[in-house]
Amino acid sequence: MSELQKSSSGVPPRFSEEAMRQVEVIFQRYPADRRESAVMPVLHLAQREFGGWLSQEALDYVATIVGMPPIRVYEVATFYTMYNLKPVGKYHIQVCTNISCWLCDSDSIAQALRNKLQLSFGESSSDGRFTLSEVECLGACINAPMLQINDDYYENLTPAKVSEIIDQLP
Amino acid sequence: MPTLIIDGKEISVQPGATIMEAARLLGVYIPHFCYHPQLSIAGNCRMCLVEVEKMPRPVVSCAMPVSEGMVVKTDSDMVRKGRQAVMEFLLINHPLDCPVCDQGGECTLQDLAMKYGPDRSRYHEHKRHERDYDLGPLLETEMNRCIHCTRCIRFTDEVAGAPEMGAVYRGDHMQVGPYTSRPLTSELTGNLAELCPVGALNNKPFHFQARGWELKNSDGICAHCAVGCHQRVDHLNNEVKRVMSRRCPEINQTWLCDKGRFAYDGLTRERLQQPMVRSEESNQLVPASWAVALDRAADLLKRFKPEEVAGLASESGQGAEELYAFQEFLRHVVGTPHLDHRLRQRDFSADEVPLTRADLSMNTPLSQLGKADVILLIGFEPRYETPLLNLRLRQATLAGARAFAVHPRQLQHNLANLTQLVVRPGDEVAFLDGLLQELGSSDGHRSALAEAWQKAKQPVLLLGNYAIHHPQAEAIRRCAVALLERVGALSTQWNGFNRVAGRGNAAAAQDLGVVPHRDPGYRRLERHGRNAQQILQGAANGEIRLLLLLGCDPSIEAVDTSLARTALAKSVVIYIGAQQTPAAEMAAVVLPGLANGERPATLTNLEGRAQRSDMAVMGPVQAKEDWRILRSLSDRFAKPLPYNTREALQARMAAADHRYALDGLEAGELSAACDHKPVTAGLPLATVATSKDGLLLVVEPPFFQDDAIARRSTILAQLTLGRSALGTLRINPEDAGKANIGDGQRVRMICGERNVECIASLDANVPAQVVFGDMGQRAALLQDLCDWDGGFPQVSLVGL
Ligand code: SF4
Ligand code: SF4
Ligand code: FES
Ligand code: FES
Repeated sequence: MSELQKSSSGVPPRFSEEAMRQVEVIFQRYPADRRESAVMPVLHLAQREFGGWLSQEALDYVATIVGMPPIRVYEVATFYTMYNLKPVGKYHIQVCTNISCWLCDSDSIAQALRNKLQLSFGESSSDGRFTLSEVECLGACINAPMLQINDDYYENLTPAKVSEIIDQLP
Repeated sequence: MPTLIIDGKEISVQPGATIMEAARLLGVYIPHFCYHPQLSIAGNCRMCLVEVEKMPRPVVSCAMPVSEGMVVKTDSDMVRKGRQAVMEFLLINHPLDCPVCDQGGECTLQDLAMKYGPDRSRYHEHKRHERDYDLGPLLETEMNRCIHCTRCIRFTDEVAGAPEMGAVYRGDHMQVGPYTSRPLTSELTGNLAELCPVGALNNKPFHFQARGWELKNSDGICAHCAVGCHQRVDHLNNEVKRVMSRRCPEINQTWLCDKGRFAYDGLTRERLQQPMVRSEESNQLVPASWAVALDRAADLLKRFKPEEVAGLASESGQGAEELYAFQEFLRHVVGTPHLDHRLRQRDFSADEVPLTRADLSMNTPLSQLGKADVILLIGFEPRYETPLLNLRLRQATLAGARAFAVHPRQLQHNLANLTQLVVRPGDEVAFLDGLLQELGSSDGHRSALAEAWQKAKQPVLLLGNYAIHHPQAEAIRRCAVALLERVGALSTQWNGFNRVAGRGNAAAAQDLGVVPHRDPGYRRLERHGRNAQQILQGAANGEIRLLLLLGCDPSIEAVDTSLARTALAKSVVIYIGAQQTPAAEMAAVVLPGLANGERPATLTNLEGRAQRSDMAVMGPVQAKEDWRILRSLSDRFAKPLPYNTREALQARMAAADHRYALDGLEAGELSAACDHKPVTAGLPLATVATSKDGLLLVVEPPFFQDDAIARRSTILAQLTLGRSALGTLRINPEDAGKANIGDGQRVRMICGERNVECIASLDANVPAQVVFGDMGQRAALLQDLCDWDGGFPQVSLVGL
């Protein structure tokens, strides 16, 4: 949390042609002299493109694309927890522990995950398959408790169901 | 104008002003941390709470606009309670380590905690731990002390134009800093230490040097460039400990640049300690008493005919008093007309034209520059020649002004809206002439510059160091005047002609006649003496036999240093000055003078504003004020200088030029720089043909090393500012590739018979077929390649 992580590959991150086309589409949503407004969707795109997380190099690259000083991009990227500033596993499991889920016993869900994966919050498995995170309300309180794996929501959980979900992951 | 009542006092202010601003006008102090008069409103520290009648809650005074009939109380029960609560929150995470904090004793948080803080904490949990950053050699950080006021972020973003500080994460995880390990690149970083209301950002060279309350202060004027910023010099036991800014709305507002703030540590290095004379037996310089040294100097001066004596002075490092006494001593005591301070100038043809102050300095006051709508920089890199002037230009561009730069390379700049026009050295006059013709013709396609210039209402044109010291400087100046005349920008309402002679006190040297063709006060002389070039040429060929040097070393500073060395070797040298230099080592008599800060002095800034700077510390015991040295020397002649006190000398200066009659002027009042508009005197001059191909050498003075004190500062020596290391030869990567030269490689640069060895560094800001080097580097004196009349030297490079 005290320093941006550098990418270990040594290859400077660059968008593919296809991603570049998406950037153009994103830019079209904002006035031409307000390209900075695109920083959040472009960061999001970068996170998808560059392996699920944003290295310092990736942030600097986004800064050049949207025309902002790097520090302004760091501010945005650190403000939102959904930008991952450390490498994440193939499956990024995010457990909501906010009030509604907590009242519906998210504690037991979290405990089931910790046991199953042998990971604490914020850790990744050594095989690079899983990362376990604790997150705030994901807006699915109606079916609490819940968790998110990559882009998918899993709701109305019980510890048994959690174990099943993990086992079914390809 | 809304009228309101603050603590029972009535005041009317501009609509839109805040309660804080109104209170400040009234002199009512409202405690605050994040509010700063020169920065945007953040409203995040909540310390400035006040009570407003009919409003249910305390109000944040720095962000609340006034309205008619408001009744404000700044010290009611509600206010005190509110502030106590805010203070309790601020102190939750503060380490309270005042005893080991540099800010202790002059800290806003400490002071306000004394008044509003609880005497013990109700917070027993863990305090946060913040990361510290390496912000470079000027700033020490202790981020645990940060109270998140965001002044540093707003300053770097809004004022310095180097947005490198930020607030990362959020809520109680928020951290302030650059969030990387890159040092800050701004030339204004020292201001952060002054601006931070707590001890989070500290002045690194001052770290643990002294306590604020032990220091004595003097009011100084910065002489490290010609802006003339107001400073407070803090000293202890006769040693300068740090330099702070002093508010002056017309000049530096509340800032200083890093050169002005940190050059002080060069003050005591390599100083001349006592008078010395060259012994006849050993041919060495040996210490002597003042009487012996002055007698020897007078003997030498009398040994030659007056016309065989010449004087060279360096403007920077001297007070106006010294400069005045210097010219009077040479002209009226010795009786020689040969004197000059323009060792860097190549084109002296303007001496034939009756130029005055309006032609030679700025005509747009600094405080008006922000109102310009089109800015044209010719041979001027404002950020690294006159940083605080650059801030005004930046303000103008932020307000929508367009800026254009005509320069031999890409400028390093922080202007918001700058178009760079890179022009090959020597082609400037043709370029400006083309622009004039474009403006004259009605038809066809115009360049963006011509278009903008034609439409400009309040254009400013600034000639900088490169233009002033250009081989065709006078032709460039005339084009500049003509350009302004074309758009009617030379009137008394708006005069946009600005010649920015950037070295400290350059204006005083012009005003007070340290030139061969004018007396003080711009009175032209019938008979011109020799200019700097002719003096050195004369000394080299035996026509000049004695050189009197005032704080200047031609062997480092002159356009052609190989000529200067020959001149010094062949003539008898009398050296008056503060620092040891190669010229002093070659002298027959050395008379130790004082430096700025060690004596009261008058310094004239680039607007032509003469200001008095106080003495801060004492110089070496034996050294004397330079004008007193000249005064004592003149005692040994038939007609001594007619003043025994500084006041008498100042009165004489004032009689010669009324702008030096400071006692008649209100503090801070600017005497009009411009009596009349600049002269054009025909257009254009014959231009020297320059070669279209071949590698040309441009030698530039490195800003942070450009005067005797700054050059000796170890703090400034650590600053690179985005440029390759000092003293290297900057070359375009493609040119280097063709010549098979790599980054950091030693090369020999050859021009005709002459050659110099130096280190190449590749720089993409440098255009093809031009190389740039730093002036005055003892390790590789590039001026050795420059022939005074030869224009820009055409060089070839050989990798070693
Ligand atoms: S470092 Fe100082 S100036 Fe910057 S936010 Fe913290 S307290 Fe304010
Ligand atoms: S801008 Fe010039 S006068 Fe002002 S502090 Fe810097 S060097 Fe000194
Ligand atoms: S609290 Fe968990 S989804 Fe809202
Ligand atoms: S000074 Fe008003 S909120 Fe900080």
